[in-house]
Amino acid sequence: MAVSIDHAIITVLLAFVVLIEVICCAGILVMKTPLQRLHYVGPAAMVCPVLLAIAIAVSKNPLSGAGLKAVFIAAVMVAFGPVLSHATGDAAVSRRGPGHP
Amino acid sequence: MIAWKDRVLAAAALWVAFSAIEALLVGKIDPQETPVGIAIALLAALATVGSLAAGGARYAVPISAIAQLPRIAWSVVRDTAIVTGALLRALGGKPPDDRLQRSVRSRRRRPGVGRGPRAHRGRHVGLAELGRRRRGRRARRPDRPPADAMSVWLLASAALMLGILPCVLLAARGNAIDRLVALELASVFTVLALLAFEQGEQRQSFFDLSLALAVVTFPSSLIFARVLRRWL
Repeated sequence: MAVSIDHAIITVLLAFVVLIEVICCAGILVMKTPLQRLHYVGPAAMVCPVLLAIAIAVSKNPLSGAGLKAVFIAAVMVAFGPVLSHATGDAAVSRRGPGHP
Repeated sequence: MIAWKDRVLAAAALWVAFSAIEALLVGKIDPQETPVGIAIALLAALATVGSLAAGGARYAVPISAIAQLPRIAWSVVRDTAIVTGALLRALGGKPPDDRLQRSVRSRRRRPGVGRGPRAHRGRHVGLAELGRRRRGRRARRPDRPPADAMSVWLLASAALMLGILPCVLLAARGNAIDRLVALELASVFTVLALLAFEQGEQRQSFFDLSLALAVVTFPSSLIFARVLRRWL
């Protein structure tokens, strides 16, 4: 079966997205404290949207409406993800105290 | 302290700007898509102003931070490797340490994964009439992937939706902060699953749904975090 290079790239990118998702899901279940679990939100919130946006840009014309929207969604999530993680970590530390991870 | 009048004016200005961006993205004035876009622009403007009001000066981002974007990108990649290593060590029963990056670095490049036979480049199947016809159709319709590519998108969407189950499990078993972490991760997976589903179904208007969810998720989670920090 002939496979185009675009299809191969998309498959690899989506496989990485799912792989990171599996890692993050396992991480939040295996880790003990909320701050440790919080570390596994970052890759899913910042790496996966970028990979997915690249895959959509490869699949479609990057300057099309869907491509630009995907890039915009990735930019929103990459920009807001660290803020959310910091705010959540701040709340966790405030509730338990800095000496209790 | 910013007055409410200024916030309303800022929200109105952002609404106009986001509506213009949405119209430019669509590329035309459509009686069905344009009102949806304007409504999403209103949501985005309200979410932005609400986030600034909830976050305050603590989360104000200086313009000079844009110059740090490459460093931030590298930090994200490095931290992804670090948490992967920490997870592997935890699954192996070992305590986490600072040498995790080295154990993961060798896993980053796996040549050959996901790549099909070299025949797809067209040199060795040039005589296949069926292949020529298929490539010809693809060349005339560059925006439409083949049917098997769509199944890949739908499979990825299904896998991302399954990722919500561990989040539900953590939200059911953990404390308040654990639930917030689970909510944030589930929101990310929902946005990504919708994005992959929309791409698999080839419905451009569906992208507005994931766009709205991505925009609205941020202020809602931020408000949850602020409420947990202050009052609970």
